[in-house]
Amino acid sequence: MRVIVADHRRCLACHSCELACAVAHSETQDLAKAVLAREKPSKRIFVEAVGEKAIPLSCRQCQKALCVRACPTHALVRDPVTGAIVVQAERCIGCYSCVLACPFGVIELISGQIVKCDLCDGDPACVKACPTRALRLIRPEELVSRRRQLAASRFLKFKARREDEGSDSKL
Amino acid sequence: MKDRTLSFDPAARQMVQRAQREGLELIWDRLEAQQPQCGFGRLGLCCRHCVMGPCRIDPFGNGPEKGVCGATAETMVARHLARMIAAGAAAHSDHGRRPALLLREVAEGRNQEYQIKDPAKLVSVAKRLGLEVEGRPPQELAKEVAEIALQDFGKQDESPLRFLTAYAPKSRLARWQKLEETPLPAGGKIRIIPRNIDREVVDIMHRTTMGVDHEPLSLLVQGVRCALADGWGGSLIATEFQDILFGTPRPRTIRANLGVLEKDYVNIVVHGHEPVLSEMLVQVALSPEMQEKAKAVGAKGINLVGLCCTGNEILMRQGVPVAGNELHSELVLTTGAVEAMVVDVQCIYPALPELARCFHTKFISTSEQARFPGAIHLEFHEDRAEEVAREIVLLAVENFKSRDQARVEIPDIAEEALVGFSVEALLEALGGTVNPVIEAVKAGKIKGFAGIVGCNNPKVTQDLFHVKLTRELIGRDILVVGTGCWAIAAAKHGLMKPAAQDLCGPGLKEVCQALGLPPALHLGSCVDCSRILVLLAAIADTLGADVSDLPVVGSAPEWTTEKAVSIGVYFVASGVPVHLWPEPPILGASRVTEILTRGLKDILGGWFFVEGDPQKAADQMEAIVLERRRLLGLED
Repeated sequence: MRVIVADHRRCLACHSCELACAVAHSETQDLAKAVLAREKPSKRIFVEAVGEKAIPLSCRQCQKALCVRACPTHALVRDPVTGAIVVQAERCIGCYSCVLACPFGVIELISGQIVKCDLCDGDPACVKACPTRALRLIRPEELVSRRRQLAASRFLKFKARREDEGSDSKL
Repeated sequence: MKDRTLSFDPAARQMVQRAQREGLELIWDRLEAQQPQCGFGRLGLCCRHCVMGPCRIDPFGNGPEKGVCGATAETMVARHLARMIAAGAAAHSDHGRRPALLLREVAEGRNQEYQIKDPAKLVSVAKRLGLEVEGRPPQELAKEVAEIALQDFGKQDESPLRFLTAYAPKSRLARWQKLEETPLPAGGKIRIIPRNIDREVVDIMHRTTMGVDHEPLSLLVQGVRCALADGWGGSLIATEFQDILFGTPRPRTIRANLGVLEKDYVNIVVHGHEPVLSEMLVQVALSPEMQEKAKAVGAKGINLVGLCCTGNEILMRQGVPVAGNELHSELVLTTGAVEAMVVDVQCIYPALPELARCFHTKFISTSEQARFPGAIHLEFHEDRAEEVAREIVLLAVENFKSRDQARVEIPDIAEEALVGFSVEALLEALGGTVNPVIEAVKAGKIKGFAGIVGCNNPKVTQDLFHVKLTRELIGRDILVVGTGCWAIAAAKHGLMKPAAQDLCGPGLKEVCQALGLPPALHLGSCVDCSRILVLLAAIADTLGADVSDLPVVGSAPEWTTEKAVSIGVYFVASGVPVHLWPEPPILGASRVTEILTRGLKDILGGWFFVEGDPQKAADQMEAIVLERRRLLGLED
């Protein structure tokens, strides 16, 4: 199970992720053709601005997903391979329950269809499109293991410095 | 990087492999690092013309539909396209200004470094301008011709460019004049006849700045006017004045590709666009004195070769071999065999000095307008041309001592090409008039003509589209003429040898054999696209027809620069449908796209079409030629 994470410090609000997302969900998957097509594709990621800062938001694929719980027809299910919560269109009745339940506001109902991030079958277009690598697709366990490593090294460096200084402080 | 998809040219692939082995960065690496490229930019939907922005428009209608000022997608795309045309026209025309100024100085005796090499061309230009030529000394005539050209750059009245009215076909001029009476939907008239070359560029910069012109059609009309100021003005002046000063090209056989570099010689590569310096470099480098100096440092002599359009200029007039087109500019350095790369202006990658430093190569910039971090700058001035040329050649000769022969790898690949087809040379080959080709077209031996121009672009496999499209067209009895990087591609791939007649359809083969011509004709550098215009005018005027009636079609299948946009637009405005690949940054605006790909047909007789497959592009080009034949009452 991998998730998309966004580093807001790297996001320049260029909206490239939005564009790539829409193209990836168009019929031809080609920018020029998608623009010329009659039916315009929809994006599933949103560069949200707060003052001068911005951060891209898309579905977290929550483990205890409120959208899944809210769905009265069990139209939302988890893809066993990618871990993404995907819509079974034939079951969806367009009742807005999932849209209202989502605490991140990243599920939309457009022309009677639920539109949400499906992780592009495990290879998200938004991540590939991000020119500053603000978006990454990672396994949460990788992230926490890296964090642990960093924390451990910070801790040990601190200890070593204290010992060099002959301090007897107990940390 | 998969080198097979990078270039169709085996010499290029050999050098790419070397670069990969040695960890040298090439243009394809930088293209890869830029992926994916911004979708807003590709569609023309971003605007940075003021600092209320930068603004973007969402092409899928989920986000903003207007910029901060209220500019729509249509306005943004049209403004941006107009600015591309202005930049392209400026580059060609500023180039043209230089030989015009130089001719005036030579005529006034203020410059002793150059001469009027082709007085006959001077007389023919003067005649076209309606000047009295009988009994007048060349200096006097040259001064008057130069003054008229310089007035076309600076006059402040509303009358048309004098060079345009002197050269454009009569029926085309009449069509443009009639359009001036045609009202635009948003008010005003379709005024597309240029008044002053510089003014049309400035006009675009004015009307595209914040809060001026927002009507897409009006913006496009001014774009057309500026492009015409380039084609029938700046570019044409560049060609004609260079011919007067350096000689009108005559057919000659040259060699093309990296194999023109010589292991035992001092290799000097000239790259860029203007022949004013490179003509002098050829003269100095080939002098016995300099050849002796080269021998003194252990070389067998000096081998001067061209690249890009500077290469085209000196191969057309001096028969200098050409090392390659735009995408060869890094690869020629990768041979390790170059003592000096000497550059002037346009299409010169700023990455070159760094690559040159990986070898002993000196990278020498010469133009006050074009500086490169990491370069040696030896500034060229027309009034001390020989002195600067000597300094450059001596630096190259001296640098031969620093060459590491163990690091030299020159691909043993070069093709012969018959080049040098100025309009004058072509007419001479045809016996003085265009009638033999017109007869061949009427008889159906030649179905029509295609002009292929333009650049290399790392997004397209180098030369692949140029070569495949050319082969498809000549195979269908369509004679191909062209300029720029296409011409070098065609030369490198053997399409300019008389033997290429075997690739033609039966009719074209017969005509080419009878006239001793290859089926792909080298008309020169990118400013020499004006030669194609002059040729079209000669055919149109002979038939009493307009260019838009002729079975002609154009293509820029690997285009890169803003200059190519200007060229494409002046051909379309002159009545030639033009194929483009890659797609231009206009698709974000449906109305602008509609106007350029369909609407222009009714207004100007030419239009754009985009196609990424060479065979399909050839199908469409052939269909246009056949349709126009049908309208002329000619059989397929």
